[in-house]
Amino acid sequence: MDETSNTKMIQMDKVSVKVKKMSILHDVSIDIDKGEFVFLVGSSGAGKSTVLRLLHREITPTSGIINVAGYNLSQIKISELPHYRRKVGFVFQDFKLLPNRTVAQNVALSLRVVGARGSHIKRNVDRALEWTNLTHRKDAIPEDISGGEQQRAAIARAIVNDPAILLADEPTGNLDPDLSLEIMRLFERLNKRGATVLVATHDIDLALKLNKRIIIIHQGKIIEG
Amino acid sequence: MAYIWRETFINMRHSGLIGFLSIIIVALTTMVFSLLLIITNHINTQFGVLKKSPFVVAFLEDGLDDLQREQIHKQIKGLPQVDAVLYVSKEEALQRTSRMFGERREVLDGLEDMNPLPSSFEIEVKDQYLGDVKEVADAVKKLSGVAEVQNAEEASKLIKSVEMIALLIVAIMGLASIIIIFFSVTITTYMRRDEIKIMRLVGSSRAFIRIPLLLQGLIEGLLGSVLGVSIIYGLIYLYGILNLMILDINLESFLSYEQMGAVVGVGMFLGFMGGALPLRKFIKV
Repeated sequence: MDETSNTKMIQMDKVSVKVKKMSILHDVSIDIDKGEFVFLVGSSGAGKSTVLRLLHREITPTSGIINVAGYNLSQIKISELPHYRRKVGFVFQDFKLLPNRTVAQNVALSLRVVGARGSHIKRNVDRALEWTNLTHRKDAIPEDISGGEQQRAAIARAIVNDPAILLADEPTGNLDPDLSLEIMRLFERLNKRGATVLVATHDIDLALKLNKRIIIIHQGKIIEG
Repeated sequence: MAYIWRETFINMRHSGLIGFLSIIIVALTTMVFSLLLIITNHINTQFGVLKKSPFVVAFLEDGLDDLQREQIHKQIKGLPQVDAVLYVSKEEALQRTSRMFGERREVLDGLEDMNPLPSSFEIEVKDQYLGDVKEVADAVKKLSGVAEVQNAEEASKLIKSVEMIALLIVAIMGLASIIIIFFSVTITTYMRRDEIKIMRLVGSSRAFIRIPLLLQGLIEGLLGSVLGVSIIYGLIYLYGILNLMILDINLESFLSYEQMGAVVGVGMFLGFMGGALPLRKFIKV
């Protein structure tokens, strides 16, 4: 584990990703302070999801250095990966809910994997479901709930263990404007509790409404931020 | 630990038809293994007597003294293929012949003084050299003091062939079973690859994912092998009732407790390996 600056939670330095000679990201450098709330805005295919997947260490860069929460993600050992990911809440664009588990069981997963006690799990799951307005759907399985509810279940799972960092990939893509704003308020609440939040979205209006720092990405390059 | 067990049983419940098929495949495999063991038991019982009979008999020249005879005994015993050597004196040879004649043994009366039967060495060959009976006979024939050698080369080769064929069938069936189970569990794990990936992405350690799947493999192996052994037991019981005269197999030929333990162990091992091998590929997220 490498120590990064106390104030920097995320540091990407000249990061490039190439797939079959095609450049997906080119020399991307981003610094995000601890406790900051940042929007990564860009059109579809701009490279937002690639940035988030790099930060979640689902993929590795072709070149460049990534430091997150004191971990050098280019050199992190496979055995350290679970510990790193437990510090990061991730809202996936395609939700990634377990199809054969209830909403509550899906939300509890992030706590189960760290061996949390039953009472702690119940308390946090109930709170996350309440925050995402899903208490009434806790015993349903994902295929029996709407796209918006699935998205909120994915958000509940990402926040249930009070992560130090929250990465959200198009978290409001399936939600109506009112609910989108409500989810953003929820992220703000987490941010006020100390979490660093990075939200990837194509919805610049939503980002502007919250009056937070905005990084704009276009064709794999940072053009503002 | 309670969570791990609960996960294991949830996995089993959700694996549905595939899980059921895994149990059936283990059951079929253990049925084949059990049957082969039972047939091997049967062959061993039938051939055991035959295998212990002397495949080579060396008849000695008359007039050898004890020292010369002891010399020949040592030389035969020194051959690497030889398991045991039994000396049959002229007197014993006559007694055996007398017993063979039964009630008509009086035809041999008077031969005690001018016994024409030669003394001999009966030579048992080690199991692994049953195909080399002729070589043993040739080597013994060259020894000084040996008048004539008889060997049962054909019988020994037949036993050797039957044993080789049985071994080959066991090997082929065993390999086929492992391949079937491997592919079945690979398919199961492939169907679960998204689930495994999600678990990894929310911070599961590899052990946390692996242990329930391995336990599932062990339990399916246990259920399948117990089912397989039970079915074979039932079939042999029925076979005994029907009294078919094709093979003289009955419940007495059934697996010993040690063999049953081994078969169940093999089933659990297959389930465990089937769970462990394909998992490695999908857990590297």
